Amino acid sequence: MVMFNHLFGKLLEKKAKYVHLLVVLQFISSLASAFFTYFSFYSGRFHLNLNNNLEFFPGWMALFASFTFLFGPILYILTVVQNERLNRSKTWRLAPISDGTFYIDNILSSFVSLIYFVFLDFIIALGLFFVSIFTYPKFGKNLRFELNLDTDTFLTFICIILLVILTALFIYFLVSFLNFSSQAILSFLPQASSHILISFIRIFIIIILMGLIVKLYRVLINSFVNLFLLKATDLAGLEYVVGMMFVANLIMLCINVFLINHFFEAEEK
Amino acid sequence: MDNLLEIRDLTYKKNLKTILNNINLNLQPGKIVALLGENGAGKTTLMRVISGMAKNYRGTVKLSGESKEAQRKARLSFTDSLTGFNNSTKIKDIVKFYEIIYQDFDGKQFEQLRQFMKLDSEMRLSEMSKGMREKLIIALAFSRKVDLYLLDEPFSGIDAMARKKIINSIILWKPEKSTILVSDHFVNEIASMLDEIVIIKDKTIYAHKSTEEIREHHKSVEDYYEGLYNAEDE
Repeated sequence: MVMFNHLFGKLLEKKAKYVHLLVVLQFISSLASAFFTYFSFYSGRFHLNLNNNLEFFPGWMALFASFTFLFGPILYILTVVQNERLNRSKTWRLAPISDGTFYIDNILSSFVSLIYFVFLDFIIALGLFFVSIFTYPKFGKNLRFELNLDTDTFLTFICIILLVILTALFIYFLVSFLNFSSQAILSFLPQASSHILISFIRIFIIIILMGLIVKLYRVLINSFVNLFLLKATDLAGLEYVVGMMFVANLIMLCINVFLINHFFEAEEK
Repeated sequence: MDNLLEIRDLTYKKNLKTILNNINLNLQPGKIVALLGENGAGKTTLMRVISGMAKNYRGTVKLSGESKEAQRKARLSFTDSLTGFNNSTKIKDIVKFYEIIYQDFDGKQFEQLRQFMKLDSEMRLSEMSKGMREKLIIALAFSRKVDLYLLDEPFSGIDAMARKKIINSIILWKPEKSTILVSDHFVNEIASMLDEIVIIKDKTIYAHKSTEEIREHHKSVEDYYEGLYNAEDE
């Protein structure tokens, strides 16, 4: 457990660099966007756009918050790529821990880095929110918060959050599965001399594997799950999807741990 | 004496090719052993199997009685080309990584080795020559207190002075009870420090002899090793 925590810390530290970089970029790009929304450059100098109804800081806050939906997916893609690089890295795989545990550590640290990104965005947006209130009292006066959540809405909200989390994890697992299994299958085929040929074979294997996953998913849904899980527990709607996603994640995790422990080798450098 | 490393009936195949075939090898504690063989003989693969980097092999590998890969990794130090770090990473940051990941890493020993190798801790990987990088790799490997050190071709592509420095560091910093397995194509440079040699040929262990035994029957370790290939050519 000590090694798990140490490794987790180091992995998170590595991934946090991307988080910091993207948050800074998000901050700067939202500031630049806000600036050019409120000021125009012509005749050699900047002029204030008088036709804007919203003040500068509330506008910047809104832009910053909306940019989360751009920079968040960028971070996600970067962590997906980084996960697979680290899974193959000899430097990291030499850590005195089983490869399966290292894999779990790697995925978990990526997931925590995403949460860290959301947290930093929230803090910055909150900061801009308070600046908006203090600099423009009108903005504060016009604000109204109403939270009228009944139990069903609250449960749906929780289910949606869980579903987003499970989907993010599922894509991590799916990419790892395709990487591990295609690499493992390649090692059982005759060695190809050309890199282009290897890449082509790998893409071909990945397409076949994707087809198999889709087919397996349909079989599971149609026969096993509908018959036993859905009817027996009377789950329906979003809760059912969350349950299914959880089971799918668990299965993918087990398969990936098996593959990395027994077949997926570290790079040779 | 108990064996430090025990390899039984090890066979490793990849891309439908047999890389290692029926390897049986025992190494005792406190030795410096050369793993010799031509390019592509399987020296690196054998080290990768021992360290758990290569998968899907048949046979057993035990290090200090442990066959689980995680336990083996905790008991060995394998030279790593540091590709897991960005080129902008400074030596001091790599050291921090080693201190956290390897509980047996001795920071003071690294400092001595770093000074001996004349490496600046503020230096980035991108600023280092091949020889400097190789020295750093050796310094990092020897700063861990483990039973087995796996040095994979530590002298490849580096100049004579750097080679001398690395050989001296191996002799000076080797813990008494630890074993060093060092792979190379040539034996000339390292012959003087060796206790045993293991030769991989035809995908298996062709010979495993002590240097003392060789010197009793032959002129030198170099002659013995070169003689194997010369006889084949004739």
